[in-house]
Amino acid sequence: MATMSDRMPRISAGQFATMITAGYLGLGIFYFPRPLVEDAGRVGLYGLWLDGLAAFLLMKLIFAMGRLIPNETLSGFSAALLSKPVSWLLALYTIVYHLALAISAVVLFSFVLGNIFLPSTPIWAISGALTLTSAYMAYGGVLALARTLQASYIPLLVLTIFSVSMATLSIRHPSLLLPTTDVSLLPLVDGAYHQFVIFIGFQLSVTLYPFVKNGEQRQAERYSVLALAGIVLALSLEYEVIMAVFGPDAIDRLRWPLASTYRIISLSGFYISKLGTLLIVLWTIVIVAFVAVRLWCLAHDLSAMAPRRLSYELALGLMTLATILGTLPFPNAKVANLLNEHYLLPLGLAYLVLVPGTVMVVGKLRPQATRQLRARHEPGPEV
Amino acid sequence: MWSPRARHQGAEPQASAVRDSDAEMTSQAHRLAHSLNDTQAVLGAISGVDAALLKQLISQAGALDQELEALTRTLHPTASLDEFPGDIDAVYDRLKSGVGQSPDIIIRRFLMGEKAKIPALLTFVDGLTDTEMIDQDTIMLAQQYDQAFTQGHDPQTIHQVVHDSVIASGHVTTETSWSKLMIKLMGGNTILFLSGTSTALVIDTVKYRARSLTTPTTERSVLGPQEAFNEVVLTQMNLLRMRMKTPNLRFDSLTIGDMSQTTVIVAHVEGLTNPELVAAVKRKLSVAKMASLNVGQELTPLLASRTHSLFPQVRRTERPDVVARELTMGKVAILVDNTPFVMVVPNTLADFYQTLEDYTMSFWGASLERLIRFLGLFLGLLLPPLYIALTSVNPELLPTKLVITIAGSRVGLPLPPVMEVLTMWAIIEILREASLRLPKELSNTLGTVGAIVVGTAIVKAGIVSPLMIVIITLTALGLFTSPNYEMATPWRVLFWFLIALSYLFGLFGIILGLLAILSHLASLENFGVPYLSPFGPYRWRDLKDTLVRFPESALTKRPAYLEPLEVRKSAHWHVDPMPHPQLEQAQREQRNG
Amino acid sequence: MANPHSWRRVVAWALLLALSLGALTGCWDDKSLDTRTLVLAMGFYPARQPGEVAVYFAVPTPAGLTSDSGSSSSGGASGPPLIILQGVGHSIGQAFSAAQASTNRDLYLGHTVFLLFSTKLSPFMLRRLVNALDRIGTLDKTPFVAATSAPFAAVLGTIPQEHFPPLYYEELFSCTTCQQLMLGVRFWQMSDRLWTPGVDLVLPVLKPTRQGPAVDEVALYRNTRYVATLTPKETTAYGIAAGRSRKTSLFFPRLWDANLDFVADKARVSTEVVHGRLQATLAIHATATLESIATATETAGQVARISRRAARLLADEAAAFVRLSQRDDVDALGFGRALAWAQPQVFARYRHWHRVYPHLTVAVRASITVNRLGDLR
Repeated sequence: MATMSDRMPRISAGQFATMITAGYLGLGIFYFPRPLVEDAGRVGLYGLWLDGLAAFLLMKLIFAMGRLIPNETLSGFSAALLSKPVSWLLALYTIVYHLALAISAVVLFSFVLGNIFLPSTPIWAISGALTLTSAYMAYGGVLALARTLQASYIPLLVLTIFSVSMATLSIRHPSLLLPTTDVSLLPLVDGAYHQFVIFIGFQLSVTLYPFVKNGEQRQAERYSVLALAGIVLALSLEYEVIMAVFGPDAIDRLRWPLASTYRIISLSGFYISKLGTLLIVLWTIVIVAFVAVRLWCLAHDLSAMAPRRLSYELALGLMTLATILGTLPFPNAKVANLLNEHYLLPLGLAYLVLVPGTVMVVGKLRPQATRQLRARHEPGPEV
Repeated sequence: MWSPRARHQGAEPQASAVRDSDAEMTSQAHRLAHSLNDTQAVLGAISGVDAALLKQLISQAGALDQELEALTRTLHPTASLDEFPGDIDAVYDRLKSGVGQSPDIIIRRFLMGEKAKIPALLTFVDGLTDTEMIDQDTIMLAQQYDQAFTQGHDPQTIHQVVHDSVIASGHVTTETSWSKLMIKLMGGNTILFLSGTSTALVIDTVKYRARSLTTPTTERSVLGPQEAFNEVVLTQMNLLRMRMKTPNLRFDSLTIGDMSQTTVIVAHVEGLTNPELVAAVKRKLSVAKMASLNVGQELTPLLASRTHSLFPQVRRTERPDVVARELTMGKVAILVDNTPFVMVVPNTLADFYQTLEDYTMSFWGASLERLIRFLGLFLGLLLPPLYIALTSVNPELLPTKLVITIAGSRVGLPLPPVMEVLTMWAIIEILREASLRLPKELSNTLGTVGAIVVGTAIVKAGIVSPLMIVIITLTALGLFTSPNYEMATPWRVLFWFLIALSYLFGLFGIILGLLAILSHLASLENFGVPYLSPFGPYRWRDLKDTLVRFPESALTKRPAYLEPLEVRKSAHWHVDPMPHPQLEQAQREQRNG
Repeated sequence: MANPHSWRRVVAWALLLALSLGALTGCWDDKSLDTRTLVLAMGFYPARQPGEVAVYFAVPTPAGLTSDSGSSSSGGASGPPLIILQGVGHSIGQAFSAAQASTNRDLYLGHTVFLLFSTKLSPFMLRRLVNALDRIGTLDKTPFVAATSAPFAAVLGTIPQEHFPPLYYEELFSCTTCQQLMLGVRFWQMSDRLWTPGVDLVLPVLKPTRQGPAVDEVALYRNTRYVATLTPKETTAYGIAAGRSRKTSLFFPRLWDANLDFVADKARVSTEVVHGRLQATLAIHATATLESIATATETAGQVARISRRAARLLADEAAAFVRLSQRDDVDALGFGRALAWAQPQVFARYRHWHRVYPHLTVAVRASITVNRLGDLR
């Protein structure tokens, strides 16, 4: 089993926040804000904020768990704290779940791209290329991955601002910018629940948290929360624009609302007139990032729980293969979306609540073991 | 292939091998004698052979004989071969039989003092030394000087007097080890042996046959200094000293190359450059094992963290001003004798896009130039892949009118865009390579003529579209907007990678390719410095000097990634002691008063 | 980790292998422009067989392409710049396949800039068409849409200014200062209107004349059913009521021959239930320039009178259109939509908005800001 001394690279607070942020948003971004509007109608914005609040609380919870034993991953310490079978079960759950997330994201995006961009290209080629690129990004290890994400998020930030402002030009119903006060709670909560799929994925914190540089943990948490606020703000803007362009009734019928919104952006007098369509391709960055952090996490957990020595590289190869093979049986994007709504969303929520909850409670009940674990994984002097 | 033993056969007995035991020495002497006998035996056995060959063999045998004799003579009084015995005749024989066989080694015997007439010997390499210094400042003075020699005949005293009062050369050292003396001799020093002492004087008479300082050819500058390094490491150090008079500028010397004995200087600023960095550079260089270090570039594998990466990690520059600036930033420079390019480490990707030129002009101009450089990179790398992606895979992104124009220009063309690109790129690369190797006068003509003729003819022939010519020209030029020549190579290679991806997946492929490149860049580290530094990880302080250059007042600190001991580089600029001089008033007062 | 370098090599080889395998499978989407037939416009007409649709594809010919780009590479090929391919089928897919059979190159919809719907299409067919067009991934959602009763070839007949008529229409509709009323409707706006309850579709009508195409009429649809085509005068009223006027001019012979030009307006529709009664308001605000006046210099009083008069005129025109649309039962201005967005639960109570709309009370308010001519002296 790999111990902390094997993995010297430590990431900074900003890099942690970047990776955590890359860890969600990949799933269901193209369906945004349909689940919200479908249930909640014009007041979907409140539902989005509710989601943001829930994500904030769950993030707090998972960070609290991370602080319990700040220098070892969950898969590393769970055997000692929660007993072997439980830890195995947990690791299995984590691995299968992350794999499913990666597969789902790859499938969804591949179908969007295949439909809009590469109609004659087989889907397996698109998803394969996507997964291999993600694997290459994860291959460099946590530090290289974090740096890549940091560097590629600058253009993405510019892109988001740009796309929102471009889409603003197409707004035809400014009266829709203000949500009504006509709120009924049940549909709102329902919509928020279905839309929460967009925030699923930051559970990779259980593996990532110990990689934060010592002393920067609090800052890393703060940055992650700030990034979450930024994401909620960006999503709110996107929501507003989509709403004011199409109106709530048409959103229901839009194929991929975000993609459809981008597709109406066009600019005359430039070399590329369908700028919005270009932006859809640039969203590749988000999806690749989502899959890359997932693959890193998977490979890491797998090599940590493997009974015999399994190198990170080999584990990464296995997981990449599993992802590629996993995408093959999907006939269309709808199936992946159903998988998201019916399995990944509730299971993810359960994970986000139960795992940190259990670990914290057990940690409280067994203070002795916790102290020992914490001491054992205390980092040595820096080299 | 060489081995340490093989290279010392013949002329120079190997010191370390022989010094240890007398037995070994005698055995070597015996071996030489045997080989002599063998030679003679062989000679005797041969009959009716070529007379010239015979003559050569005889002369070689004679040389061997001589060497053996000198060796045994040297062996006699002292036990060690590596020390010289103080006997001028023995030294003479030894030199004459060894290095002295070469015509460029001058051995001069003379007598010191008009009256004392102490035998002395002086040897130097003709051409590497300043003969004036030898003639006037050494031999003449020594021959004429008499005062001290009359006082006593103790060789040590004489030696001291010669060192202190006779020789009028700036830099004189003493040396006893024969093997070291030989290296000094080859380096252009003059060795003075005095009868009776075992210590020889090494007089610095080195006169470098150096190329004069010229203007930089690979990194030209409009408004900056116009001086480039030459091959001599001393001159290189001088050029740096001229620019940095601080005593903290340190030059630590290493010698690399068993045969070449090349001087390698590690330059850094004490108290500023991170000592860990300096130590790391020295440690990495100290493990260098090579027969000869001909060019400094041979050291780059030692200094780069990932040797197989496409991207250069060691910056090489021929501009002393650039090196001086990098040193003041907290980097380490590596000067190698006989290489006019100084290496600077560690580097980030952005460093390769900075020039000193950027600091000689206003930040507006500099920022514009930086942006244009990155635009050049963008166009050079992406224009042909984008052409393929946008005309073949994703034409829906282009405006309809442009698509119609492109489609019109492509009507009747036999080749798909990807072949167009490949054809044109091959032509351009061949033209470039050819014009690089040809004499200057020819290359200009050939380049222009080739480009124009091939360009128009190939369009006329209906093989490529006119648009392609525009694109490929921009590409060829764009990649060379990088101030560093080496930086163009990785992009020229990656270009193919992107072409393939855009052919397969269009724009999506290009994005994936760029992500992969980015990821590779992010995984590179040079001396612990992330290659992608101000962008990943973010270093806000360093970002101010990357895509654009902020005004000087914003750049008061040294780059964060170098972790220098002294962070601040300049004072805040907005401290203004006097807003406006009172010119008008002074003039008026002068006129009135 | 046995040996990281060997792993690296394995990964590199695997990538290379995957890439070359990918390259071997063929060129997928890599079809160069000259192997694609660019469909610039599509026309949808009812076919002879009931339940079938005839789809026309306007595609540029190589001769048209070369003469347009001014390239000399293929010599002076001659022929019409645009040809029309036709396909008939029960769905767009079938029609597409039929048309594909008549060309050796890939019919490519990525640059379709113009869609033309015959007014004779059955509501059922129109719905099916829009549904299908919505789903075609390569088809952009931004082409302009128009209705016509004339044949496709006649609408795309020679237009003096333009080599490719579809581009003419695209330019016309996307230029705000080139039309009196902004009548352009993009495809996504069309489907948006069709799927949103409480609002009906209005499409510009293209009418070929000898001088070129006339675009001064609109067709009204109730859901997907074509109802009527408005006359040019009614269309102006629609433009004012819908806030689409850009270059209308008003002339007041009784008020010092005053001439108001460039009347551009904005319209806001609101519907709500007040005291249990549905109340709709149409508020129009316009700006105009006082272009000429008989007195040469205008006074504030004159301007006030002119603007009062102009506002009344605009309100009258708008009210006339509202009455017209209520008679045809076409909610072209979206009074129902306004209610649905403001009070969704109230709107949900009216199951059939089209039964409510003809009886809706609409209050029309108009105001106008007149930019004054300025003092000439």
